[in-house]
Amino acid sequence: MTLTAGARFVIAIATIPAIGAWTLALLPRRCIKSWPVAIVVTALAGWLTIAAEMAVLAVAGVPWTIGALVILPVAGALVTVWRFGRSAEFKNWRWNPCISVGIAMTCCFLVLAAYAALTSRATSTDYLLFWGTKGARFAAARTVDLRFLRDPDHYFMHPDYPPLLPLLYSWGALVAGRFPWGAALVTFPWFIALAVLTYSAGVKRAVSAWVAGMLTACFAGLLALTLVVKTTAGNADPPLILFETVALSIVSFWPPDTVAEWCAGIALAGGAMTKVEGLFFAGLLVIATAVFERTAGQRWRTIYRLAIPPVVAIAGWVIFCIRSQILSTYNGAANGKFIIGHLWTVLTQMGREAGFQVFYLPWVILVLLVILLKPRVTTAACWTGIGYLLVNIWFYLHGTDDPTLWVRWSAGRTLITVLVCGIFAVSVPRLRPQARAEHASPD
Amino acid sequence: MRKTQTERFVFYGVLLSILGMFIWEIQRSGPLQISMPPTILSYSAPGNRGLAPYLVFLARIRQSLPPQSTVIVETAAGYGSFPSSDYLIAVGQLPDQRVLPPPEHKIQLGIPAGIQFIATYHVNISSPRLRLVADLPNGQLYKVSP
Repeated sequence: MTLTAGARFVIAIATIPAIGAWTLALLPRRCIKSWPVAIVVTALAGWLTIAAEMAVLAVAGVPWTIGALVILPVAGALVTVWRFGRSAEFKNWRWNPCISVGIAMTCCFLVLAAYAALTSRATSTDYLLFWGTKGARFAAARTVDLRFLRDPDHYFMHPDYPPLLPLLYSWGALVAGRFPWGAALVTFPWFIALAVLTYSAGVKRAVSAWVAGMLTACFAGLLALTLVVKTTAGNADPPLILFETVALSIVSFWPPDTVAEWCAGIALAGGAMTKVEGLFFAGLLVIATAVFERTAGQRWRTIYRLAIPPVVAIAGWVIFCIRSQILSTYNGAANGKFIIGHLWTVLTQMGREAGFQVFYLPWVILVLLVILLKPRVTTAACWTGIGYLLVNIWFYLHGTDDPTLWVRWSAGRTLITVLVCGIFAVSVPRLRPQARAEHASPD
Repeated sequence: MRKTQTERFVFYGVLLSILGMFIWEIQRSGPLQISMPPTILSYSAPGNRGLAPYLVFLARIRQSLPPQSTVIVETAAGYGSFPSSDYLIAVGQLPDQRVLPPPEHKIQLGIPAGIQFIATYHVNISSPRLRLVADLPNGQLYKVSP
């Protein structure tokens, strides 16, 4: 019985790219020229499509059913197949591995991440306390269960936390017949693999094929290792990192392009709808991209393309929360007063968590890569990472009488975003954006 | 950019160090095995592993509880000014049931109205209104008589 439900959940996740296949018919052909990019785009589009449908049905008061959720995406996928079936375009898509050592090591790290998750070595308690619980409860109620969220006894489940991950879990649970807690951990390596594919597709535009392969393996290894050490399986951190990776990859490696920038904006919206921290990341990346990656003439257009999707998404969610009387996090009710006297405690605890229980290896590697690759300092990735670190410190200074527990609980996970920004920062070419546009190679 | 001996040395060293640390991390958290562990916390961080028997208990009582039934899971954590994590976990593990937080007083001092089942985990209670449904290694499941 468990195996059946688990297998069905895995099938539900595996069908997500098919649900998002309709986007291939809409996006300009210059945007997708390889299988890795197509897989990432359709997977994320599929997830966002299902979540948007669930949200619309919940607001309309219509119970979720598998048929109602898949009918439009299936129609869109059929149109896409019909269009591509008539052209030989997709036959030209390439799967062009950089080099065997890099690919082999990347696969090895992904297998280790999957093994760690499925043998319960990386399970987060937040998964048990609210991320998975919300998914299971929403699926059982076949809607965003407001009676459940409004219950005062469930206040510590953070009723107004962004719902994107619980909606994905609910989709899987609807197909599975119930929420299979063990099998749902398969999403952990899935998120990491998509992030690695995204980074891989971008970085080979910036550096030589061999270096790109090695950097991809480093990215996969460091991401998987830190996410496992910080026990984030089932938690919202892996999907947040995935959305951050997509946005960072577009602004760091792609030349300025209208469609690409809208896609980065949608990825930032995905991050903001996955975890509260995603909103701050979006704000920082928008500012840093406008300042460091764009010329004066491009700046404002980039800002609104990147900023509008997350602002609209979060505004919609906050309005829903206000109308449903579940708003708590976004009105700042959970924040204490600012206490600068906690700075030393916060910094020392963050420094301790930064070790990731692996003797600061990720940061040592980052320093080695900086020395080796001599990257440009004025990049969006670099300054987004620095800004994100400072924003986290600022938040920790709004804690309770002793912020130690809070910092220990969360700092290790938030530092993974800083680490990812660091890896992007060392990978970004030394060319300025204008020169990069001229040198850009197709993926 | 052409690859140099230095690049080759640094990248291979970096990847081997990540691989070594990853394998070390995996083997220190539990025995290497191919089968699925009993619960999703069995080999998680040491502080979380204590919850594994509780998850097994909840999975067992779930099989005996009808859908939509109302249940209280009484644990040693009890119920103070806010619900314990034991309660929040039970809410997630029993999604087809209505799980209520334990009352502030001990169950045997009075069973709240509307409760159909009471599960006790490492807690002993007795009441003439309770009929044993399942006797499990770490606790019991009772049906409440009207």
